[in-house]
Amino acid sequence: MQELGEKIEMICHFSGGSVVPCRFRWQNRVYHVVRVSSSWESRRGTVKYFHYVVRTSDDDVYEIHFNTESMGWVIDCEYSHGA
Amino acid sequence: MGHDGGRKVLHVDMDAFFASVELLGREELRGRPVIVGGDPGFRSVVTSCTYEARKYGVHAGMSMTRALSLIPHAVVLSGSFARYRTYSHRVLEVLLSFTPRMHAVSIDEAFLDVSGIPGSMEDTGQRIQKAVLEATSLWCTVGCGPNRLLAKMASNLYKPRGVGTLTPEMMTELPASAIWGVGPGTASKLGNYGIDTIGKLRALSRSALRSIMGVYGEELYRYARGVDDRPVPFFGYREPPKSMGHEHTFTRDVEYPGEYMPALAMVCQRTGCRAREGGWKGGVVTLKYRLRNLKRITRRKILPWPTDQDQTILRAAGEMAAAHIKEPIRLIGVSISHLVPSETAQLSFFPEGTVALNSVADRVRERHGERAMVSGRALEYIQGKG
Repeated sequence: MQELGEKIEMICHFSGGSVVPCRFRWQNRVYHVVRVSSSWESRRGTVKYFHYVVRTSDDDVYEIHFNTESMGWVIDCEYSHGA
Repeated sequence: MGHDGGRKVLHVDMDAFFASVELLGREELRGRPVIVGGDPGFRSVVTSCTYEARKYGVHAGMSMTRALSLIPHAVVLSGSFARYRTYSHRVLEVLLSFTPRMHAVSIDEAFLDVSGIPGSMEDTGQRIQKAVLEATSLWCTVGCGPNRLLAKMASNLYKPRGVGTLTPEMMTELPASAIWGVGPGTASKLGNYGIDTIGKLRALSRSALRSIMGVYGEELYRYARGVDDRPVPFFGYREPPKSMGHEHTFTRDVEYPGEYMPALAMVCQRTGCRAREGGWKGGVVTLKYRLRNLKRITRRKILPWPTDQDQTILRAAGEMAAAHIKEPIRLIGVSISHLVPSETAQLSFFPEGTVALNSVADRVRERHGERAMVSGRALEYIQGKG
């Protein structure tokens, strides 16, 4: 697993009462989300976070989250083969 | 045999829940031994592991050091409780869609009374299994029986990904340790008398079992016959817990009050918070600590009246610690038991002076986190001084 912790720009759609990430730009490259494999919520103090594990069209897997206070998206890590 | 009145009870148990949640989206890890737990350097334990890891003898509660000695090539994940809680809620929503008589007994298991649902228990169990899988991509096992005891035993038998029934007639050849609630200690004690199967357990009279197992013998007599009258309550009902508490494992052994009191203060704060949040007060404070040789010691103090106040719990635990801890320890913990609902606890002529303070502290912590407001002692713990 490679830790990243960088801001990204996200396009998402709102469906069925939830936020679904569609594609994001990271380091000047656009990544298309083909599947949201896992999603959950967490809280730190008053701030709520929405977390996702997404698979992109390149067959890479990333963990990302949305910060409801800053209203921004962050790419947390890339899951490489093995760990 | 049994007085179940024709009930249909299911026990839904998520398969390797924490590990399975961690593996969502991680297809490259499927089929590999994966362990969810903390850093072995911090004396942590296995929280969950995949079935591939269980084949090597790894199980929840085992020390990470031991687990990694069994599987050096295991994938280790640290885990996220927020993630498990989210998925647990999703599973409960699915279960509630089948019946309101659903009782979640832990983050990954629940009992359902499906007596009112047409069709066989196994049919309903399979529909539930499919619905949970569709909603969460996670597998569960569903045990079916005429009561909670047999449904729970059934889910243990049919794990993983199983749906199956256990009746009293099917129990005879099972080991005595298969009875829900019979742990290694009880199984060993029964083994000393040559009782290794439920059939042999049934051959004993009530008085013989009582003479071997004491008061517990009465319960064991009923359970050996598949008898369990406990109802499955409606969702929202809270069974009074037997006790509640917290523990802390030190990264290095400690011996003196200056070294262990900060951690003791923190676990007492957590216990008090949990008691107030749950609406319980405890009449007995138990201090527990583990020596360097892993021997676990407990000491109890009966309070003049039940409490949910951190400071009262700490005073009792601190006095016991000062009196009894005379050599290095690796773990310290506290729990309160003999719990009663707060609103029915006996009023005292000398109300605890910390009630208002802790009430404010609880509201601050709810908004800003556990560490937003702590005692001076617990502050030392947070700052790493204890």
